[in-house]
Amino acid sequence: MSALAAFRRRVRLALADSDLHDNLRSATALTLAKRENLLAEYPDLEEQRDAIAAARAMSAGEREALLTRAAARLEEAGFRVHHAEDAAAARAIALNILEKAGAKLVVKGKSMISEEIDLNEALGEAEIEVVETDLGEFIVQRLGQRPSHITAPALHLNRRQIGRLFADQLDAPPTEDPAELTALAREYLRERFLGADAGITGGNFVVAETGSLVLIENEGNIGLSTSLPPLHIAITGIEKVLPRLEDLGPVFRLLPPSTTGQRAGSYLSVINGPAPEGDGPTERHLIFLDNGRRALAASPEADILACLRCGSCLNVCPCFRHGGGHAYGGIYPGPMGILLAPYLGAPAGGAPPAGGGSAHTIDVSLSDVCSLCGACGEICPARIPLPDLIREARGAKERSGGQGRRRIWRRFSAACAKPARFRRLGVLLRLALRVLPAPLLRAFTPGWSRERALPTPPPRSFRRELVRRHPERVR
Amino acid sequence: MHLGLFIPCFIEHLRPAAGLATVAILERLGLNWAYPDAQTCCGQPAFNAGHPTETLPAARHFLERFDDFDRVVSPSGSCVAMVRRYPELPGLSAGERMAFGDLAARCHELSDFLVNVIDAPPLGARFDGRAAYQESCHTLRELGLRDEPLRLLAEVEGLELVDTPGLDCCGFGGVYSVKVPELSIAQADTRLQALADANTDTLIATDVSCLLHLEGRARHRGVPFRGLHLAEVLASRAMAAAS
Repeated sequence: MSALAAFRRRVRLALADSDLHDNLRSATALTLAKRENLLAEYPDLEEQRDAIAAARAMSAGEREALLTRAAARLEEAGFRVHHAEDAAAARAIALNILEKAGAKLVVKGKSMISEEIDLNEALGEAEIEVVETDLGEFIVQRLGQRPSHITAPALHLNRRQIGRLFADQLDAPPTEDPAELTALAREYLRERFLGADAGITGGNFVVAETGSLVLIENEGNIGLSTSLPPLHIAITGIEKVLPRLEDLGPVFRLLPPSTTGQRAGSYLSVINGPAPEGDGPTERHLIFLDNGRRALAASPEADILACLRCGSCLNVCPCFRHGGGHAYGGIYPGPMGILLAPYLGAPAGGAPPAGGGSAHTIDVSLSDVCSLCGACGEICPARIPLPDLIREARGAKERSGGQGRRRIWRRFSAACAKPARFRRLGVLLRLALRVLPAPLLRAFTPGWSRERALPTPPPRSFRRELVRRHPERVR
Repeated sequence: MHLGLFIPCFIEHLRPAAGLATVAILERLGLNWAYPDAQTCCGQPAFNAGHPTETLPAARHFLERFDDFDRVVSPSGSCVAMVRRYPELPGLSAGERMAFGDLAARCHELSDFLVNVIDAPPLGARFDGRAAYQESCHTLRELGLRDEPLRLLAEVEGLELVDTPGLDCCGFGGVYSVKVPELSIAQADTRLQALADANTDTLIATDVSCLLHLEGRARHRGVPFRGLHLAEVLASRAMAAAS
């Protein structure tokens, strides 16, 4: 089954779930409204976006140089830096570190990249217990699910559903009160934080200039995961490096509003290496993951590497809001996911097929899941031209499918340059819509007609009517 | 000023009334305009399917037909947005790119033309009833026309414009509507529900394609819906809205 067919099947299930529909709608609408109210008072919003775009725009060569510089500074600061080519390599590095330390219990901060490499499954197989400590992640882990949104993992659930889960699994009195539910999770997690042998987090950014790992969060769980256990492992993508500390300024101003509609994240951790003895982890590792990012850097969709992972393009996307994150079938849904997901796992330096794109992108591309409404491009704090990139991805997919589809469009375009032929096509279309029996028309247009009526054209086209009424205007 | 009128395929064949309403407005304003008979399609279907190279013949044909007009006007935000992107098409010579850039700057969606180019006087339109205005995506985001249509609608006597917050893409999106029909239809239903919640069945838009999509869905479901192009409302003298 093609990726699109599988997507559509999951969408049909999602659309039949009225709870999911309400949850998606209310959660995204609330976040967007808070964001909009807040940003309305930012007089320099566009300048901040420019600054982010400037800090994040770079060539593949510049990105490599920046990464090398960052790795050197991080090492100087006392981090142990690792480079993982793909998911399997990243898992092996993490496992090796944990096994050497004899770790049995790991607390984890919210990290999409750990989802990307299926880290929890690998640790489970090695009999290391992993506890997700972000509330949303904690909920989806307990349900045996994946996050449905990159910054709001349990966006698809409501407090009633979460209350039922906690009552079942935490032996708690039934409640739907968010404060009480949070308190239950906190009580459960506090013990795990204190007993954990290691903390694993992602990394929002790395600052090359200072050799710092930057983490932004709201719940304090990342602060605890990176300071209580004796060992800390962070995993981040090779594209998350910012050149200078001051580049964090505009990012920190726009990321929280874009993500949750907050003025600032509750906690900002800038970690500059291991802690002194007795004051936190004495060992910190940073794993830089490629897993297709270098292939992406060489593709026409390379601009998506500037993504801050704020999630606002998901919130504003009508496809995401109707289908939900799980419909996309991968780790990263929505507009940024459409662009990123196909490259995950693609080997670096692979020869792109004729027509561009990565060979890897083709079977799994969901670039058709977009009406090109432009809302994502308008909201992106890093000014990534998401709709244009999705159009690019579409083109790569079309071109990879051989000459057939291309020929159809070439014919269409050739007809556009031949007015008589173009007009005849129009006359035929109108005639077909007017005289053919409805069941036959429906059979010819299955995509449109299953649950929509076809238009019935009036007897005369605009042009014929104009020639009748204002012949002097036609030339 | 010599003005060229571009009529998109959707209007030409499926909704001529929107084109004729545009004509009525140009006539009422006493403008010197003409309709080049050899016009075809702007090429957007090929462009949005990911075939910019294949869009070129359509773009060159458009340029040839419209280049000698001082301005070009069209009752479609979506098609004008395409024309504005001609200069980015691959494989253009420097001269051609300049010609396309020059054309793009002279090509206007109807509300843009009326408000920003000629600062048209009130058109004396009358429309009795409640209606919602839909910000068609390409008019809003590619052309950045937020206030222009609303300014024109504010001058329409009798029109009660209702606020329908959160109206996003209707779900048409060209090939999207047939490639991902489930989502496309769900988006149409969200839109139709928003209209029902606002106690109206009438929607005004700057693109006929959005309206035809919603109309097709409403007719299938047997839900009342009336889609009107902005030009149809502006040209109306005494059209009574269905209540």
